[in-house]
Amino acid sequence: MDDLKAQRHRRLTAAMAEAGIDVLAIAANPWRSDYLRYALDVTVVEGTAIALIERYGATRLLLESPAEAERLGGEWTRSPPTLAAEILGSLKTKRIALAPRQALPYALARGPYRESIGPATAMLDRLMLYKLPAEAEAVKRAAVLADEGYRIFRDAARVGRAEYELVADVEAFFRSRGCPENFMILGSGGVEVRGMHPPGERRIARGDLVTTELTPCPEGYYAQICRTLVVGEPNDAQRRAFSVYLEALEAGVAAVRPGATMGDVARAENEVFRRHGLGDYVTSEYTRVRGHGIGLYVDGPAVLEDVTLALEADMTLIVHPNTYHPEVGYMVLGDTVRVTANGCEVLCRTPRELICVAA
Amino acid sequence: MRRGLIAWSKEQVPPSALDARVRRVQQALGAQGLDALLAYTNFTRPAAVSWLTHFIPYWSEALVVVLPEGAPLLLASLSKRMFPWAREVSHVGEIVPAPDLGRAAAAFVEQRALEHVGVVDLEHLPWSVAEPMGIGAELVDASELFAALRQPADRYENALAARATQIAERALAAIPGQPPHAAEILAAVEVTARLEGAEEIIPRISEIGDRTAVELSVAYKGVWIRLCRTYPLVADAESWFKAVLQDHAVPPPGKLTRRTVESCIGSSPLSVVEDQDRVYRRLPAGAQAVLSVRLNLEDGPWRAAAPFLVRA
Repeated sequence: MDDLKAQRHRRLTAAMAEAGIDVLAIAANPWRSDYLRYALDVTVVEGTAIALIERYGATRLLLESPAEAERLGGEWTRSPPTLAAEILGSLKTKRIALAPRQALPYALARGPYRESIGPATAMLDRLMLYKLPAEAEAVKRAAVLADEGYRIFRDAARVGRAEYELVADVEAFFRSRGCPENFMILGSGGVEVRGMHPPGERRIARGDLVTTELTPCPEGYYAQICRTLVVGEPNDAQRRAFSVYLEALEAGVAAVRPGATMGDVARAENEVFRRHGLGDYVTSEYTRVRGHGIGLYVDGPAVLEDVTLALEADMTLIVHPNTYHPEVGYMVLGDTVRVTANGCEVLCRTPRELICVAA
Repeated sequence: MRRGLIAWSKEQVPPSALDARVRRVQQALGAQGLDALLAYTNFTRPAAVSWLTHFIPYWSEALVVVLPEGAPLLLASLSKRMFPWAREVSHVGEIVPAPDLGRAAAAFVEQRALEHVGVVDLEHLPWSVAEPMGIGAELVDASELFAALRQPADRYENALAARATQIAERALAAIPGQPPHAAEILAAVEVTARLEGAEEIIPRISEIGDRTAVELSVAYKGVWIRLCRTYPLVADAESWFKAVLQDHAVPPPGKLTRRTVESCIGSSPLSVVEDQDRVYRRLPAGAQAVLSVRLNLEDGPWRAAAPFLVRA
């Protein structure tokens, strides 16, 4: 990781030099820590953080939470945006830029550097999108943990257990493996289930489809796996439905190669549904995206038919034809992949099958 | 993200309690000459919105709009498919789809001809939301208005805080006797707290001299508390801290090196309102707060934190 951190720092410094930026202020919070992680390998878990990064000089990290300031070795202030604005205001001869737009607090962004926000955010987005090989390797290691985590989830899904109890088992496993973060939603039930959500109090019942999107982030990089299991023996409708998702995932993965677009991948998945007379179910009425970029942020550029972003080697994404099926309910299946010189490497190893657990 | 239990029990927080909180905001709007109050929420800053509506975003972002009359509206960038879930776990009026929250908020402000819009914690509002909205309306910082209403806590919030504290105590009690690794402590507290129904848990482990301090920040249905214990336990320091929590003036068994009081007064679950140097905001009697202290004992440092109710 130290090597990776140094490589990222060199890329950032070069990008700042090219853009003529002397000082870059990066805002972060637990939702959008990805930009700060890229720059400083720092993940904030509470409150607002603002890093002031001089291109060839010192870095100051201002934190709203006293506990975070201690944990990360930064400076505590009740208002990081106000203090950051004061500090930047004292650097009159420096060329200053702010990012990212999604996390920058109003008190800092509304000031004299507001014109820098768009270009500086785009600069960081490019750095995070076009990954170093070492970054793709970090995603690959996260995918190994995603596979292991799914085994824990599968074992946890027993009749009578509440949804939040399943998550408890998975979270304990990830913490025991030193993984501090995980994006995870799930669903349980039958044809009435139209999506996934954070865990509720519903208890697993015989015949349920139990879906999950599980996304550990062990070294600052996420990898995701999506699988559906059946409590008991799957019925014919569930088997038939699953075969469509399997075909769609395989088609989507086969479309991933350098030069192909996110739109190409989505079309490959969706054509399978359309061929099976399920075209209505690949619209926004029933599904959000057909996959997305993944890396320092869990929900990168969308895999949708109108997205023209072209894939390049070492980009990482999840391909997941997750959607509602009118006969069985919401079903998910997805693997994280890494774009290679000729196609892609599938990073998840959990078999692509409709998993059955004892009723 | 928030990945623990998110559920709304109408026994724990009746709709009438949420309605009463909204009514207090509505009454204050008129007095301040504001057309609406906006409260932004993501899982980093969910507290103002969860207090008003019980909505807790596990991911994504949203704005609650309180107008002078009627139920609060939720502008949500969540997928529309998630709206039934949002209705299940919260008490809101209309839910407006807002894939681009800033633009949707700007359009809403324009449609309703809102000129003076108060925003809770305006200084922290993300630029992606503030920039489009600020073009058509005057954004006014309504942090003071909101903070003045936010505390003291009502009995429903106190009950949730008590439950959060119980969860944290059980999680700390689950720590193995001689944990060789921080990972084992983390696994034990995570599984215990989440099986007890925690919405979220943030553990922090600090090696302080020969001791280990474990601080757990636990959320239960939108209410956050912190609990910190230092291991091995030091009896006289523990007794002193208990007495301080009960407002007894007792000299510490060592040098007090830090004292922090946090409370929920805005969008952040807990904000520093007082430290050893100054009082930033005086809390009313009955306010929910967390006291954190650090001592230098003869044989090394010691820490503690616990929730308390501010006395008259």
